Amino acid sequence: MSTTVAAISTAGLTKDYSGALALGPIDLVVPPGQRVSLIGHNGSGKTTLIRLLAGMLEPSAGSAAVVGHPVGSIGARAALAHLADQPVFYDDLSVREHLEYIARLHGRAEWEERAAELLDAIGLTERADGLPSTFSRGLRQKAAVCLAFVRPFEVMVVDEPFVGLDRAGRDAVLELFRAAHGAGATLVVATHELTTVVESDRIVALRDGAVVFDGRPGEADLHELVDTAPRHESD
Amino acid sequence: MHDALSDLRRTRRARRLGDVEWFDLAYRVYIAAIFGGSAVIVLSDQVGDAEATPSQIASVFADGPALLGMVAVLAVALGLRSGSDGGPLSIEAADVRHLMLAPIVRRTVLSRPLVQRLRSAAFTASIVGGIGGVLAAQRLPGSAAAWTASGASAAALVGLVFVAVATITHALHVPRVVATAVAVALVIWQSVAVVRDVPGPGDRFGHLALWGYEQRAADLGAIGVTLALVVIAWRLVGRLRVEPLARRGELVSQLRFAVTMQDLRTVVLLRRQLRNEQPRRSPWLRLRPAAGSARAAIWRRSWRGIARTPAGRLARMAALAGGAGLAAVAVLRGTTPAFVAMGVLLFLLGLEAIEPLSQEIDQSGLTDGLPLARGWLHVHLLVASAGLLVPFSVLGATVAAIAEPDVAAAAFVLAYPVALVGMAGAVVSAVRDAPDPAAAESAFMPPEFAGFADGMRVLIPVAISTLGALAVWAAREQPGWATIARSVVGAALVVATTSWWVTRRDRWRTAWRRFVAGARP
Repeated sequence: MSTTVAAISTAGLTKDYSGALALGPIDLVVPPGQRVSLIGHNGSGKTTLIRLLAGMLEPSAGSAAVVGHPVGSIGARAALAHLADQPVFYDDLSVREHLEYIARLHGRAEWEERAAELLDAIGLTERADGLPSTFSRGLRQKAAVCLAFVRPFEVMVVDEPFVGLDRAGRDAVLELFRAAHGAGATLVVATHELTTVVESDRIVALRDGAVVFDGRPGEADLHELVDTAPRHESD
Repeated sequence: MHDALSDLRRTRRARRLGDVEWFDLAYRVYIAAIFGGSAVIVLSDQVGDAEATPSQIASVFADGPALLGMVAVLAVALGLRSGSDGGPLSIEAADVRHLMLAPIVRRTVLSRPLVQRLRSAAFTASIVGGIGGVLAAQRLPGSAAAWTASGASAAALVGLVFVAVATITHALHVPRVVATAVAVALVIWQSVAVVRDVPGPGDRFGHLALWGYEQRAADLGAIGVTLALVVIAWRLVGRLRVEPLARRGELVSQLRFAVTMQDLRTVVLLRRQLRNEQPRRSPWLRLRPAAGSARAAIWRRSWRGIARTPAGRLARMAALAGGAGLAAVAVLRGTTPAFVAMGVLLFLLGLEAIEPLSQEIDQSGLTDGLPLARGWLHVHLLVASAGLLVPFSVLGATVAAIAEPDVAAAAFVLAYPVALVGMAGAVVSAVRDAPDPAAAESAFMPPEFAGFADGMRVLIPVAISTLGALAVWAAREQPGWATIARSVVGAALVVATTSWWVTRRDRWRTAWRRFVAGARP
């Protein structure tokens, strides 16, 4: 009998800031190849969960693993790509130099063809030698998308990928998600854009740091899940 | 993968070096050398006016190691605190995102920043220690070269110890409360060593600083301990946590920009964020809502802000007050330049005390629409701050009185006025706010003079704070109650003038801008 290792698994994953609970405890298992949309109102804990999975934040309690490797370990870092809500670039490197750097750091020696494909798909070929730190918000987001996809990955966690993108850019990103999903990658995408979640295999809704819905698209009124105002201690 | 890291670092270094304006850099070094050298020479001459007596020399070598060892212990204490807060390393936000999350050994990424941090800490500390050695040579037996070398070496070790301890603390995830407890225990132990004849943990470092006159092989143990700490730090550096590195990466770039702009308030705020220093959720004292005049509202608002001062900041203020008391003792005992240190400490104490005013200036948009003159509002926000200084003045005076019981009465009389003058300098700094490149005052300035003006912007407030410290110097030169009375009157004049300036500043500035606008063709 063979057991499949979960792409993402969390057990009692909790994050608090000086006693104020931001997330959890969360118990979540995402099987390999699943496309998950993470939804919720502002402050519901989506970004915290994504950052915990990416290893950018440390859990206050509980644990998380990526393809069986503890979050933050070399195995997890090799398997997981993180597309953050705020792109960060080196001031002195062009988009192409960033792509070379990131791809090689992740062991992709033959990076040029893949980089060219991505630049073309996202519409950044003309800007490939420009400094992304000087780009507009939308172009920075496009460059960040290229960096996330230029490296090999089994799991990708994404936080608000459509911020600042025009329609063409948004469609290009959705197409990249489809291609990655088709190739067997696991995707967890936190978003407010409910029109994009219908393609998901699964929707996880957060409210006040807790999972309030976990099911397939169509099983719940998504607008109600997202629009509900956060509960407060006094409520 | 490591090749990629090496290649990129090489590329980026070459690009950075290509961007350096070498002539400009050489000019800055030249200016710094002239001013720095002149300052050391002037300070040396000041010290030279009171050569140490044989009993003072004996006292230096009997008590000096423990006192100087306190500096090393404080470095360890600060390192423990810094490490538990996520220090001491800061790497670029992009390095955190792209390197720390890449599947490469983190020690490879962090070793270089650690070496750079160790190097800069050792270098900066050795400059300070070297200057201390130059000053010591003026009063103590031994050659200037020997004193400079021993001061610089001991200080460099202290710098290394700070970075190494902080790195180890961070890597071992030592909780803040444990780090603080260990730090306090070490400081208490060394304090006991200062006042009693027992060995302290920092004594070897203190002995090493006195190698300008007396060399003992046992003191080399301090070098061994430092090297061991550095090696442990280097071995553990790969265990530094991503979350604090990410937080610091973003804050430190802002901090560097604020320092470049000489925006002191932003530097203070960012340093608080680096330390995770937040206002208390539950205030020390809760004031009930009440009706009353605008003056009463400002009074209550000030105390409400002060009531949320975190314990760490209060401890820092106590340390600043105690340090100012010790600096006053050093002045009384003949080390004249210590009045500058006293002035700086009082300035920093004042900056912490005027938090209600600083908050008001930070959030001026909230109150700019009030039917109140801004200067009037600012001055009234300072009343509670002046009250807050009372216990810290008593603390500083107590420290001075313990060290010099003969001047206890004078210390308690002078402490509060001197602290208020220290606060006056801080008020000038806060009210002048961050430099405004578009300000009319600098519109006609040539670039060379604008740099000088920016320098003065930082120095003038500290100089004002230092005026209070001159009272101690005056008391040493002309002991007696008449001198103390004159100093109190002088301090009152400085405080009154500063208050007047704060009240009138907007009016004067408007008139000046009108004048400048009228002079334009």
